[in-house]
Amino acid sequence: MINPKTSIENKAYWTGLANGELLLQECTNCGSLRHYPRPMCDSCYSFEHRWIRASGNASLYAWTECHHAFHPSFAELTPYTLVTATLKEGPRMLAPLTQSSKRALYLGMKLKIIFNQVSVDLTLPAFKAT
Amino acid sequence: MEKSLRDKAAITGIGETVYSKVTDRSALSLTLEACLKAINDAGLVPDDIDGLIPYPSQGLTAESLITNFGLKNVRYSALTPMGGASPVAALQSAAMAIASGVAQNVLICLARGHTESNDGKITARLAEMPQMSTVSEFEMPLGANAPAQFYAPMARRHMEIFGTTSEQFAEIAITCRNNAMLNDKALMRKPMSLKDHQASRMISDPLRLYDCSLESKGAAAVVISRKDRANDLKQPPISILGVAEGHPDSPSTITQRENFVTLGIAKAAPIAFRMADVTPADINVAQIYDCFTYIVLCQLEDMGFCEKGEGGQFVTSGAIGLKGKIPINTHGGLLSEAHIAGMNHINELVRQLRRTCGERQIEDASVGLVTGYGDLGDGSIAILSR
Repeated sequence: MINPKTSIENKAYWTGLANGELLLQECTNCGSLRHYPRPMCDSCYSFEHRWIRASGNASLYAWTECHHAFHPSFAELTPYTLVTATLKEGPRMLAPLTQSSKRALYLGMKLKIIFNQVSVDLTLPAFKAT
Repeated sequence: MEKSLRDKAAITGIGETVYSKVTDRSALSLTLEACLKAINDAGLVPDDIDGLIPYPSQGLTAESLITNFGLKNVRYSALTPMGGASPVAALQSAAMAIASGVAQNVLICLARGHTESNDGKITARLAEMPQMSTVSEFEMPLGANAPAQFYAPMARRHMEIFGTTSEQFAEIAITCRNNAMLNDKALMRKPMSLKDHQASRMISDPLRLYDCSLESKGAAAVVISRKDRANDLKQPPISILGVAEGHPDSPSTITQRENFVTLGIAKAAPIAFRMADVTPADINVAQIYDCFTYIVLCQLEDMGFCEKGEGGQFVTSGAIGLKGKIPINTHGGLLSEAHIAGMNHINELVRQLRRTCGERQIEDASVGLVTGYGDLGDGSIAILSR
């Protein structure tokens, strides 16, 4: 397992996942959403933001099926699929597709987020096909 | 502005070590050998070097070059940390230093040497790179741990939108292999067929093993000098006509990039072509950064050798072979010569323009192009002429 490096910028995101919530940053000045977490809005350069809860609904933008594990943590999982998902709210994120969702993939396929608690301290996002 | 660096600087010396799969020599030791060869090739002595741009990997620094060569006259040093786009981006930085009068002879070098701790542990190596911090924080824990996995979704998206196929990727791998068979230095010289490519194991779909570049050891270096003094040196100067670097949107993660099917070079190429005052049709030979076959195809489109989406048909049309209208990677590239992060591409382009490539020489090669690609889509391009 690769534990994410938590920081003052991203802690709320990881805490959200642990609580079963996908949190995105919303600029409180101009309303733009951004992801992955970072300090400043690239539309209006405001540092002010709040965390909003995303619906978890997404569509498939791109994917790869990983047959070779480049890190030993993933050796037993191959082949596993990573999806690039466009969230209903706009931003994209990368996450694995659940094994039970294995089928012919196509652009625009509907996805829904799930939360996998992998250890006491860590919950990781994944997507399932809907 | 557009012609600012045109014909101000020239590559006057090139040097390379033997390339190999493993080595017991340090990156620094290999670097020093390649640098010495490049300086000798130019007809210079080490103390003529007053500018240094080492590739920031394995602890290589300007200081270590100064110490080992006992350089007394260095007044310019820089780093261009753009992964495989670094060497060609360094050409721009060197040309700037020379055009401004800060430096007269700039040494650019790159090595992949023996490592004790990180060999094969690519995830740990990448996680230490500051430009990979976003991927390291948010994507590596989910199973995206190496370039093949970062880039494969771009290739997949290209295939889904434009109908590009794995067989078309194969054409690039086979072209590089055919060229490597004419190059004594190349590490992979057995013939590769389409069947071999399609039978090679899947790494990160759609990228098969033979879509991936080699892991190699070795070093290469070049010397860049003032063009107006380069004629007095040992070799015919190879002039830098146009050069540029380009950073893609969302350079920290590919996932967030609005347009998945263009790379940073799409921003750099028009600048370099305008500076050189040439078009793709004027290019006689191109050394195109080939960490993965798809990355070559996308760059060909981004530079305007064909329309966006037509790269697959373009590469299977015969255009990129030694007899084609735009022969690529005449040394075999990172796919079949060696992975020296593209410094070997610069060396090969200089040899082509000096017309010393023997069996694989492109007849009458006068204007050529070399690209770099690195990290999560950084691009660089240089147009050179004899």
